[in-house]
Amino acid sequence: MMLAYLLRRALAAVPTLFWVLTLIFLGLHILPGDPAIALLGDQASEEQLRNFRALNGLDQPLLTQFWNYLKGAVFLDLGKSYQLEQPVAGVILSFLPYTLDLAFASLSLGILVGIPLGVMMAIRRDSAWDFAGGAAALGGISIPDFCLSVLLLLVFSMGLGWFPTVGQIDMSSPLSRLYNVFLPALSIGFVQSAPIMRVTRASMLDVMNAPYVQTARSKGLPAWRVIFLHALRNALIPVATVAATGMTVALGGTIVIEIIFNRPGLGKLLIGGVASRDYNMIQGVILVYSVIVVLVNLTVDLLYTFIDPRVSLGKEAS
Amino acid sequence: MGLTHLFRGSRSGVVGFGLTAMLLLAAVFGPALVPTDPNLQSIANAYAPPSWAHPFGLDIYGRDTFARVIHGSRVSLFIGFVAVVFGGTLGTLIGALSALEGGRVDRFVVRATDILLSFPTLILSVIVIVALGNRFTNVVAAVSAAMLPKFVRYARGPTLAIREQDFVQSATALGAGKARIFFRHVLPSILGPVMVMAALWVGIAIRIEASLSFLGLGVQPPTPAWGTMLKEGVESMLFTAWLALFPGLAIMVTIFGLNLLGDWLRDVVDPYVMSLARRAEGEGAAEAPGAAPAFSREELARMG
Repeated sequence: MMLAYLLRRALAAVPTLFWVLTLIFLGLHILPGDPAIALLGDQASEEQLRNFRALNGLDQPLLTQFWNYLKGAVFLDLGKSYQLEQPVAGVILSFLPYTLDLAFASLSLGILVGIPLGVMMAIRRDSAWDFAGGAAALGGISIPDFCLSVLLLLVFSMGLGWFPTVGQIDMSSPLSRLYNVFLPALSIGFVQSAPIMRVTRASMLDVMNAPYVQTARSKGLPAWRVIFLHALRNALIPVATVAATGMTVALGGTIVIEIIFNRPGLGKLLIGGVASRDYNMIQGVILVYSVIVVLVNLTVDLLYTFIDPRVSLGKEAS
Repeated sequence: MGLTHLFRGSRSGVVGFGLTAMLLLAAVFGPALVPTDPNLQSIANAYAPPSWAHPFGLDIYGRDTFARVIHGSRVSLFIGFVAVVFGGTLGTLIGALSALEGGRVDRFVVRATDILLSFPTLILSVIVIVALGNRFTNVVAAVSAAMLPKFVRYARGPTLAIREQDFVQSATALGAGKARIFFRHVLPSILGPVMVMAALWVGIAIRIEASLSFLGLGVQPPTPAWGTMLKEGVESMLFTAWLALFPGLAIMVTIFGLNLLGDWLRDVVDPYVMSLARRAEGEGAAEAPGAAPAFSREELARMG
């Protein structure tokens, strides 16, 4: 059942990825701008430009280029980077862990902060907690992650010296990975926590008035049991939806944050690719972003069945 | 109706209104009140700290940061508002007409919108910039393009709900054409919620513009833009803190003010229409099995 559902969802993602690829390809190739000139400069001779185009297949008809690209993408061959002169897939693979570290750490921080605070705000409704949480959520929604990251850098790196400013990222041990990713992740995670907090609060308030929670209370169960085992589990369903969308937002956030913290990652590859009109690199990076989003949505769908056993895979929600 | 009545004791509404009004005034009259040329260089005084003469200090080229922040407000607010007007108008038309039309057209629009919304907002703008180049008008186009699918999805929801209302059914039965139904019945009903979202999304548009400028893909130097200034500030962070601090604060205060204003507007606009919009939004948003009505869309939407 589970395997069949996974296969069906994976197949359903193929058209989405196809259209994403088509959109990027058309966007990059139809409109003006020549990667040969961008990379070799205005001074390059006509022959050099011609050679570059021939070498990278840019002199072929657009449809042929697109077909070749699609064929390659199926076998994970995303072409060669014009600028780095290496296979795009290999370069992306070596940078991917940094971006995944950052995106997942951000989302985890958002969830770890957002859900407990949201629960606290709901069970202490209209208290100082609720008010402070509401203010924090408003701040999270209003403060762009890149502005927050600058403030964090100024205070914790430049001022207190607790974290490295910029430079080499040591990925050798999990602890150093965590240490290096903490400040950038906090920038995105704080922003992530805001909607999670708000939704958890609203959802908990809804659930706390449900008859089954009232029953659990009247049975004399301890408060923590009622809140965490009875109420929170159901309240988490909409939170999972928000967290899934949060992953897309977190990925968008990583682009600028990677530049600010000078971290290696897909964002840096993308912006580097844009600067040198490295079509293959741009296409590859955006495709990988899309694949991550598709995978996260799939994971969240599977999570629903865990959170709410009434949800059965492959059937419409009742 | 007096202002006091309009705000109905909403302190956050007053703060949002005040901040946004202040920013608009700064953008319109600021350059006249702060006559210092934002591009006037004084290399000898580069990195000078804040003083009475230069409240926000001088930057790497000895330019007055205060003057640049004030002038930069024009760029940010202009792009923010214009992009929302362009993206909002086109997106609302596409979303509402697609919902009215139904069938294959609607399915195509929904699919395309889903795909466009499936990757980070910033990337959409980056693709447009890569394709068109980073001239000022193209930056506006890039931010508008990022806003467009949001409005398509948002306008489609309430239109679907309104299409089924008795008064629209009656108009159809009386032989009203699609154009008449759209302009006489649908548009006036969805305009309220769409404008509230537009107010909320100006903040997103400003953030996207600032991100693009930060990445070097938006407004180009020497034009003062907050994103570009933030980038220059980060690059010289080892020497000075304020160069990154002030444009960063400007962006934050602007988005904060616009968010508060948008929240207040949402409360003021007819609650019936807003509830229709929200309900329809929930229906459209529950893609995942078991998903509750997506009452968090607005918060998410504001984050881009």
